[in-house]
Amino acid sequence: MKYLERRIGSVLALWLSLALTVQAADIGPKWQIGDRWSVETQTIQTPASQKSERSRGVVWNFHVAGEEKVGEQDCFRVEITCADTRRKQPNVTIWVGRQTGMLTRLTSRIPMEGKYAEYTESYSMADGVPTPVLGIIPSLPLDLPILTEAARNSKSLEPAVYESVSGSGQTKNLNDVRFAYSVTQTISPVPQNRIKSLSENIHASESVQVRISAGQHDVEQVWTAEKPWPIYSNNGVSVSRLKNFIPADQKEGE
Amino acid sequence: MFKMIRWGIVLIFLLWLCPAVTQGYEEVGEAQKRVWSGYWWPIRNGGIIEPLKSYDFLARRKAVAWELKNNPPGPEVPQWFGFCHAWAASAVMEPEPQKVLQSRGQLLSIGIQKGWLAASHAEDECNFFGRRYEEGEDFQDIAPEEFWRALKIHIREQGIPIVADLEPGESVWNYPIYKYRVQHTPQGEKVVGTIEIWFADDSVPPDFIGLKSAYKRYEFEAQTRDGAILVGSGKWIGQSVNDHPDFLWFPYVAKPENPEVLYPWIRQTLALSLTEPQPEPQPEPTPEPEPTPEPVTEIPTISPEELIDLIATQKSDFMLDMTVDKFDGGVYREGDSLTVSLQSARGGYLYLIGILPEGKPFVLYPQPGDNNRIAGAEEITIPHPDSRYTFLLKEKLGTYHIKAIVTDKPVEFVGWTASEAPANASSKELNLANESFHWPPASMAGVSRGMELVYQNEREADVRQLLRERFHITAFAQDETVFVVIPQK
Repeated sequence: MKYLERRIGSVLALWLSLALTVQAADIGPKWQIGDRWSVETQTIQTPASQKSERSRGVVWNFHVAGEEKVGEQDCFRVEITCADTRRKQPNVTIWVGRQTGMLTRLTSRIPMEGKYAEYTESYSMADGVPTPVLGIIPSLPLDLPILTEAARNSKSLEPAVYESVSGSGQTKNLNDVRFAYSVTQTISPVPQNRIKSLSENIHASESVQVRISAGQHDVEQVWTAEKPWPIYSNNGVSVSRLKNFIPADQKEGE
Repeated sequence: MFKMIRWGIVLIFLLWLCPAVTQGYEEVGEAQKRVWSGYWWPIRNGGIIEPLKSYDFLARRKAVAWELKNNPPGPEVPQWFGFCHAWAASAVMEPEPQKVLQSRGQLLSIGIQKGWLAASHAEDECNFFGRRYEEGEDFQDIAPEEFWRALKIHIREQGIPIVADLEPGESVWNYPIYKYRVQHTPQGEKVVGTIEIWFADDSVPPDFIGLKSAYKRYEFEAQTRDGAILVGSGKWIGQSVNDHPDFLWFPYVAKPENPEVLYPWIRQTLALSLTEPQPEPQPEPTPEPEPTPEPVTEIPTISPEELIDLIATQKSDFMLDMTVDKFDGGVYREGDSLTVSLQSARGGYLYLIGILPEGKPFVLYPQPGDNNRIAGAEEITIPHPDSRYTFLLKEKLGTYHIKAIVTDKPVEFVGWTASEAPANASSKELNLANESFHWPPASMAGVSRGMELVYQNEREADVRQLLRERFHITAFAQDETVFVVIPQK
């Protein structure tokens, strides 16, 4: 019965996604080198014994800094830094497939005792199909769906699998354990209540709600036309909102 | 002949394949950053108000007033509310205070300095893995493979510790993990294995310096896909179903909760006491002898699970005989006091572990201020005739057990500190019903279940090898006595 419900749900979601295809043609990360945007995140979990209100927001600046090859793929290199420069903050670089839109590699640098501890992780499609990838830093949401036209037109909503491995992914250490994520992605219209809750002036016809699920992770995002990043994202650990976007061909302050 | 050769080749191939198929896998990670033990500042007993008094005086701030308003102490505060998260974050991000400082007539003890650091990290920006449990949510979260992955990314790949709430229920018990080991074996399309962690314990007095190391072991299984661990398929198994971590987090920017607390001022004031990591040696034209590294105070401790085995152990290396003043099986009335007498064939360190009727163990002896070194072949009474306390039997009726152990070297227990003065020390009456280890509820429940098995003779153990390996104890003796407490006439 549950299987049947899921199938009906999948078919419905597929129908909706197909219906949205035309309107959503401009939705997704369509970047140019030099694009800049900022995202404000609030962590909604706390390790303190007394639960407090959401944390104060942290603003992260994104910059499409260049284009590089990762393996066979042409990727955008995006540098992510914290807007609060008073103290040492983590910074992250991500590489995203230019054609596939898939998060392919991530390097994080975490301040520790006056230095940075660096970690690189690579993601590969296990079935040859580009897949959504969940970021490893839940407080800085880097969960990226696949929003290419092909993905939106895809007739299959069966889970796709990607693997994560430590390192640049160029060489494989046979002793190193790999983790595989079976991910599902659904695209649907943005519910009216969600549109109302977003401060942005958005049109339902130009926006989609994307859900990415893998294991215990469940990410909800709202993407809208001509925006490089979700205008709203909630991954259960943090909530983030797109603050502003400066396309490469537009100078700051214009 | 040809057939034989062919079968021979097949056999050799299968023999070569077998170990590969059944081979176990081990992954070990240890952080380069040294974590340290610190007090958890329970809010019920005042939280960080005491150390902030000297801070207010020196920094000319009003941090104590803010704490009194926002974290007011008192008996109505849940027992587990405290600053374990703030201590754990400071133990991950800060060097350990090492020197008592003096400033404008104020003596800044190690405890005061650690309190200031905890105040500086009470609301750190952090990265969170898993979801904090609330009623109605998935009790099995965080999944074992997610826990493993976070340990691997932080401890093994980056050399940095990570903090975990080790209680799966609603209360939060944070500890910084600095080392882990995962062992697993493939079984068809799944793996079955264990995750062991080593972490800093917070059952220490505020002035403690060093690392009181605690240990825990979890069991899990997970599905695989083409040899990769399938995230989302993992399950805690065995005892770990009820006792596993809830979530992990990594603090990366210091943020005080109290707006009166100035982190940069605290770092500057404590600079002389905070031991920065040694810089990496630079190549020199002439080789010089390497400097001797400073000894690291790392105290191994007996974990709750190991304590069950210690209590279950029936073997001794020498004679130890113990009884209570009404003898083995004696019946006491509620409100009676109790004395223990014993004789050991050899001298050593004496510990008495009491076990309450519901199976909760606690340390009966030594109490704060006691010297638990005993001589051999001498009759000893506990409490000593000149002790400032008596053992009082009150509130809890039923069968009590006492396990006595004598070791040739001192031991430490996770969740217990000998030198911390209990709240009722001055009353001179130690109500055994109120004594307890400082353990997360899931650990406590697991131990109570374990104790049931011990007393149903369904769990046998011999900890002598463990004591030899981890504590270098070569001589161990144990004895046990039982008594009953019934209502007053």
